[in-house]
Amino acid sequence: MEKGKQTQQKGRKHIDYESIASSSKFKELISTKKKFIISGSIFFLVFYFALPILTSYTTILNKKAFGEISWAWVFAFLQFIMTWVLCTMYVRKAATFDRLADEVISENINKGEVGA
Amino acid sequence: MSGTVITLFLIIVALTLVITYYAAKKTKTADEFYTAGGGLNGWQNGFAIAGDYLSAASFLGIAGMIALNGFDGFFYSIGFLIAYLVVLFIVAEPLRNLGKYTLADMINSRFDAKKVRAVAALSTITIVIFYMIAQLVGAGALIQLLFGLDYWAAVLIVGVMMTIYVLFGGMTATSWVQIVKAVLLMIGTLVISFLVLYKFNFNIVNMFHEMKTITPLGSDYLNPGVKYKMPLDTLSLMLALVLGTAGLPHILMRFFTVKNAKNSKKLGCNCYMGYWHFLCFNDFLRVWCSGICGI
Repeated sequence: MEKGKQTQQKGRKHIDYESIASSSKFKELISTKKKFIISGSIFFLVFYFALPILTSYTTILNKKAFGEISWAWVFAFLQFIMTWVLCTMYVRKAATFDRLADEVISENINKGEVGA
Repeated sequence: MSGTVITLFLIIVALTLVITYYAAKKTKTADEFYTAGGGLNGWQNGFAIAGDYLSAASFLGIAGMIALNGFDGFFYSIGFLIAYLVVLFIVAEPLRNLGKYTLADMINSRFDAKKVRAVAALSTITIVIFYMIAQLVGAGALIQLLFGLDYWAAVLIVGVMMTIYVLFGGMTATSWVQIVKAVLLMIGTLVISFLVLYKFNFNIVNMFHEMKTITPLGSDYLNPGVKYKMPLDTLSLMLALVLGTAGLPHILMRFFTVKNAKNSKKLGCNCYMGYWHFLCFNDFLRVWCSGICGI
């Protein structure tokens, strides 16, 4: 990545940023990334705010789940599991995004050098 | 105050000062001072972030909040936790890609206006001052308790130590101090969690039952609504926790200490490893702590 960055800077004037921006591969990268980030963010915010909303406007979570442990505690611990799952998903997806980004960079650097 | 406690404390102070000394020798340029020259790897930074989060506020404050207010104290833990997702999903990568030192620098690079920069700097300093007052009060109270010192002397000692770490060692020293702190606290958390569970024969249901019988709140202790009776109070607290923690300047600054965005994502994943494991245990601990407090 570092090396790629340097080469990219060296060959900066040969790279046509507008053509990269309009290339299908770059667009695909941005749209898959956006889709994942936005849907993930909406999901965890909804999941998160569901807890205070349910506890402050209703009392359904006060019912007992296991012994003295009410559903509010269960939901609270689910927040931890949700965080764990989303982080794992993010890490996996990020690896794909990095690979796509590297592909876009290397393709265009080659083109740039040929153009020079 | 006991001899063991004082010895332990002095060992930790000595250790952190040695770290600061070596970091100071290595720190020469502005880049090294502010961002450790981008020379920390994902794991190190992950632990450093975990250390940042494991402040006096989260380690002592939340345990106390749960002990006093039951479920309403637990809201703080959850807010801090989800704030971490905000950092990972929304803040980390774009921020690191800009390659600046502070949030004010970042805003400046986007908007290029002196006034905007001044406002950003002012807001950073305001947040840090209030945040630091709370930390100093917490740490001062602890030292006062450990050594039987006057409160003002305890706060002064903590303040001088903090200044030494940062002034001489810059980001390298603070990072390593945070890493040491995170590891120590995680081990401590594990040990205490084990001991508390052991007391209840590893029966969590039984533990909750005991908790209910020993607090003055009775069965209200296990239900939300003890401290925050108005729905809007709870909601505004949760909103402040999830966005506020993600926006703390010292957390955001961490993302500048890795070499590139890829590492910053690695940082994300590693700090989730370090941080999540810690947090999960720590939060169990908080609940358990509150259980044991009353016994």
